[in-house]
Amino acid sequence: MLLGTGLFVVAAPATPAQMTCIECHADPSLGGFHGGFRVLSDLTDDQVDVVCISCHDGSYTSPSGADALEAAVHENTGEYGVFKAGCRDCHTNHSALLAGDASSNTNLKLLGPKVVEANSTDGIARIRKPLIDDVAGDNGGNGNKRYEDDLQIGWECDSGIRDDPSCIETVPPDPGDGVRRLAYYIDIDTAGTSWATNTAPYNGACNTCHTRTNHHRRDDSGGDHTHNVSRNCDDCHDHDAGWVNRGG
Amino acid sequence: MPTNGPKVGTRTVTSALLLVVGLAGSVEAQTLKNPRRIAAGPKDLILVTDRTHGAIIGLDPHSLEAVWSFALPDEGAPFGLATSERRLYVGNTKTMNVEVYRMPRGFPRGRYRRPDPHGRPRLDFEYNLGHTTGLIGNPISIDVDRKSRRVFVLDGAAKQVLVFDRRGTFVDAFAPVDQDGELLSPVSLLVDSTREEILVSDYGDPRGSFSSRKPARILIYSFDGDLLSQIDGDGSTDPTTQFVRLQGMAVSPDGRVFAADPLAGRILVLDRTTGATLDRVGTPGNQPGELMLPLDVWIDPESGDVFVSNNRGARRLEVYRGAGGND
Repeated sequence: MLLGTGLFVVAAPATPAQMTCIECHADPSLGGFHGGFRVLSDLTDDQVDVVCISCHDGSYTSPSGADALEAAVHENTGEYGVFKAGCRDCHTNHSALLAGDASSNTNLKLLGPKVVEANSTDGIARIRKPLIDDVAGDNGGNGNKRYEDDLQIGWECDSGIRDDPSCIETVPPDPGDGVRRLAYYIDIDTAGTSWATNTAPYNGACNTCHTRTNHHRRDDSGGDHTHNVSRNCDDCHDHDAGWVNRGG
Repeated sequence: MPTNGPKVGTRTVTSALLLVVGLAGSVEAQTLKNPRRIAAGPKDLILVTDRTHGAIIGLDPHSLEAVWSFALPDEGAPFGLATSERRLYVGNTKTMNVEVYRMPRGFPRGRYRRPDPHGRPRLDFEYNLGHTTGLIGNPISIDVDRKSRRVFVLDGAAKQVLVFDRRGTFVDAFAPVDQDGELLSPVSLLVDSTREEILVSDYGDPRGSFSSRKPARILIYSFDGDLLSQIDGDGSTDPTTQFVRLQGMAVSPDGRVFAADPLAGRILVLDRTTGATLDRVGTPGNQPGELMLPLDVWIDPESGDVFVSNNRGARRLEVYRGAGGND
């Protein structure tokens, strides 16, 4: 079986993954790919992170040759202390499936909802609405963060359902009611620097949450919006290292 | 985030005494954040790659205190890890090389013992495996045959096992195909020097209909790359043997295979011949002693202690005292 000195298998070029339901919905208590399914809305955020990272730990390349991009959870930084932004705080997980053909999907990184489509005319960002009033489990729930439209197919609030009441407008982000609404006004694969928008509204994927960072906050409360504007955030703040900057 | 502290509790799991020990280090650089592969270090040191730190962290196997760290130069991204008597092999997924560092005699005493929070190299870089670059697409798993000192590297991108001699010269490569000749998604490699075998854990193939999906499995090869056997996680040999995911593995002195199932949050103890599940170590959860995304297993051959890199939840090493000893 040896291939012979100097003969290497050439890795297949990375291609968009067309995931199957069982990859995320396999129920560990019922076995693997031949076992039963479970819904993820009953899981804690930590458990959902495990589902995601069990493939996105950097070691997995799918049978078709698609890389599962390495990722680590954004948590516990010097500015904020103990916190965690779990996978679903930034990513939507059904976008590729909804697109039908992954190769034509323009949101391959599944970064939040495609809040404004290319043909949008009103320019208003809309996202799924967090439902956190049961976060303590007071109402018989399990205390997990949920979303009103968890069970809806098409909850990206894109053009198909943008008038759905579960979609809310989020430009500019307004945390006045204590609910942190995430707004991503980008197409991540083509937007370049819009990970952290440097003009108001500051609703790029990175800076929409930031209130204490040295640069690119969600408002004009401090810092600046000029830091490395020509570069992508993950040039230095690696997602595979939890977005930390290790001093490069 | 779970706090790291001294010993936090004991409990009995199956026949083994489970002793959960947290890291005592208070310096951030000494606290595991993203533990992945484990390897035996020099005497009284167990080594772990930590992707977030970009470092190899050295722990005392008894107290599990972090006593040493080595940040890869240029913000490297350590993944695969192995050691031989005098060398440290690190799969750097930033440069996509397996970097070889020399561990000086007496290591980690003296200046090498002190953690280096600034990332300055405290080990001497010798060479990249193969004495060149570009050979490896994703060096996710490495192991060394203790007898011949050949180095085996699993390239997750090219899905092949590369073999290097003791001097780091490329010798050969083989593709870890299954009994149907298929190449799926290998994620971890283990060299069993006693039996001269290579074990490769495979994610499986979730595509297709219910019947056509391939479960996660363990493929066992000779050192020449010939497939000897495979343990399918489809429950066909034992209804309770159903892998969900698979990652790192270890072999106990008596030949049992310990395999991490990161999604199920447990370590399966398998009969290498029948594939039957003999035991389980750990239960899913983020409480002390519970596992959340375990990514690797290492067994101390002398004590039989089983060490597990608990990537999420407690984000530390869990140790199950004596769980890998002879039955």
